[in-house]
Amino acid sequence: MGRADLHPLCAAGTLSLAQLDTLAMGDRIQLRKGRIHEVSGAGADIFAAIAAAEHDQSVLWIGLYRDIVSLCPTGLQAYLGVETVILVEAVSRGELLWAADQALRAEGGFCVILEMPDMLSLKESRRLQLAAEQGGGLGLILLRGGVSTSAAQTRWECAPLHAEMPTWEWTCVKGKNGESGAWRVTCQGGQNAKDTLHMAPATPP
Amino acid sequence: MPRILSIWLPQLPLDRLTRHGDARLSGPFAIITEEKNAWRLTHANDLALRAGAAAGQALADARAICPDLLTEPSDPVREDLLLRALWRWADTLSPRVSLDPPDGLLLDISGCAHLFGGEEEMGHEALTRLKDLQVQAQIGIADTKGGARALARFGAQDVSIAAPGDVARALSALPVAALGLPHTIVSELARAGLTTIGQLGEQKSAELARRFGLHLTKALQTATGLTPDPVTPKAADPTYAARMTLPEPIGFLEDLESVLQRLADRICRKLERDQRGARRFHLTVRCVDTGDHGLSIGFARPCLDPEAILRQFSHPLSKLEIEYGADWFRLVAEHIEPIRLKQGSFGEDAKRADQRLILIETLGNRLGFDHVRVFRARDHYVPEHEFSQVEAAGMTPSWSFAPRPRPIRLFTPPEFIHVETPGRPPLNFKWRRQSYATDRAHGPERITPRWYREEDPRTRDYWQVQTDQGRRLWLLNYPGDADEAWYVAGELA
Repeated sequence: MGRADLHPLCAAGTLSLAQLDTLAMGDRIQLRKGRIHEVSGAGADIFAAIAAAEHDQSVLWIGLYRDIVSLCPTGLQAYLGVETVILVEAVSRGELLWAADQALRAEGGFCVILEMPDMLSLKESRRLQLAAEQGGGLGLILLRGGVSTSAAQTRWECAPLHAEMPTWEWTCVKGKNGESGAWRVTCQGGQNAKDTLHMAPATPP
Repeated sequence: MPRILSIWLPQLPLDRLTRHGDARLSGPFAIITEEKNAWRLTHANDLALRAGAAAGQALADARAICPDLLTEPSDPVREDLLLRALWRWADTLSPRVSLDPPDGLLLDISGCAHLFGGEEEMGHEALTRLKDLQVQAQIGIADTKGGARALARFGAQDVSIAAPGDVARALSALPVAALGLPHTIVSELARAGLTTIGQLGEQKSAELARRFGLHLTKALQTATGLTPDPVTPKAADPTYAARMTLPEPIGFLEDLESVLQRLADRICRKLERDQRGARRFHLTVRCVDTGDHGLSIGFARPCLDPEAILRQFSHPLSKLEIEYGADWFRLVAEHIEPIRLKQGSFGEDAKRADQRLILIETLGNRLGFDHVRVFRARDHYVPEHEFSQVEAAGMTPSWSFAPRPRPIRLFTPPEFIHVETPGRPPLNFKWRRQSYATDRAHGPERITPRWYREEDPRTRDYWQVQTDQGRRLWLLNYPGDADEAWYVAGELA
């Protein structure tokens, strides 16, 4: 894993925008490219949308029928360039994993959002991780059915909060390189929400 | 005066099955079609005819007359394909061939006949070659299209010829039906005592037109050559196909791929010469033991790159089960579209667009192109109709939509909730087995669907609700409904 050696990752929470291979979200949160990241909780959709918007490439949203048809671009457009999204409807777990593997492996470094209806085994997540390393894109796995041991770089717990403006709490519950921390993200209003996100650490770093 | 040769294929649907080696044709057999809620025979083979069945008979009657009659519904699409194949084949007789559907071909043979040693010899030559193809035919040759058609269908011999300038006399003995008129006119003429074309010619055309319509006089004039009626030939669309027959069967994947490579190279050279690309490719692999296997791939844009064809075929080829090997291959390009050849893409944007399309092709070929989609905005005001998902292949990315407060997940149909403490919107409710309490609500946004369409005509009230638990939901209620039911229509960001 040459890349990991070349770019020692700062502990999340400290500012390092210029770092290669990492994806800066808002102020301080960083997601490494060429890795897969797991997201769970009721706010996972919006986390994925904001992360995908930061990643300047086509976005592949892969899921089963019910996940794909319920996506609503008229609401998503505030956070994500909807024209960059390619929807991939799979009919089985095997097709889901195959499609995610192909999309992560493909040349071009796509952002791949995979809606996983059940748990991902260690072997499967390792295969996806290897594919992501090959393609150099960003893999986001929305865990709908519970978490398990995996090869993902980070795991995020995202929950919407009760507040005046749309607010979420994003907690990094697992990080391979010691990433950790929690953020409170608020959408400040305005039509283009992704430009007016406000982030503050929920717990002092 | 042009010379026209008409080929009539009276048993085309039966010939199609004969060519396929259908074993049922060794007994009484008929082609049937549904007409006014009744199955009727359209074509019957010799054995069936001898047993008493006849074209036009109801199937029930035919079964009663000939109990061991076997039948097959007609397949107009395949019959048309056979006719089109014969249309291309007819190039060997004359360069000017036109279709005469459903069961005929018209050839302009002016200046061609001497190549075969005369018109009669040409007609017999055509019949012989058609017989080799196991297709039954009758031929008529005359100065006009109408005359040639009439002679082919009603002539006394297999090859009926009207000498140049003699078409009116040759037709005079033929029945009126030979003019190809609607049944109603033919039966009206029969009631008036006019049964042959010769009898029609004796009448004043003004009288005929007055009593039977201009159809009749026009048909008569074109058939006898008083009004010109030329053959309009149309060249068959070029087919981009290549095939390869091997002396020994092969079965290894590398061998199959090298065969495919050579076929793809040949087709792509042809496509490139004509500045065309194909959106689909179909490969037929004939195994020595299990017969033909068809493999298809698709592309998101017209393609003429052998490498891409090979890459997309690699998955279906690897799935193909070959035991004893395959020795016959055919690759066809379908959905041909013109392309503008361009220099290999330069620049970051072009490269990205290429990578995007390659990925769409890879996913589409395995999952189906209808499963790889993009959003498309629609000019509408009902939330679920404001956008649609369309196939990504062949679409340029675009999205334009005025911002509106909309959820990021939209549930269609909306999900029913259990109201615990009523209110507008409810103060406490249960959704997906979880309890929620309303803190703030914003609304309603009232939407009246289009009553003139087949959709739920009830007026809807949408509320943006912030729950104490954090989730922001889009609640829906139909005002005026008796049961005051509430639904979750979506989840807001």
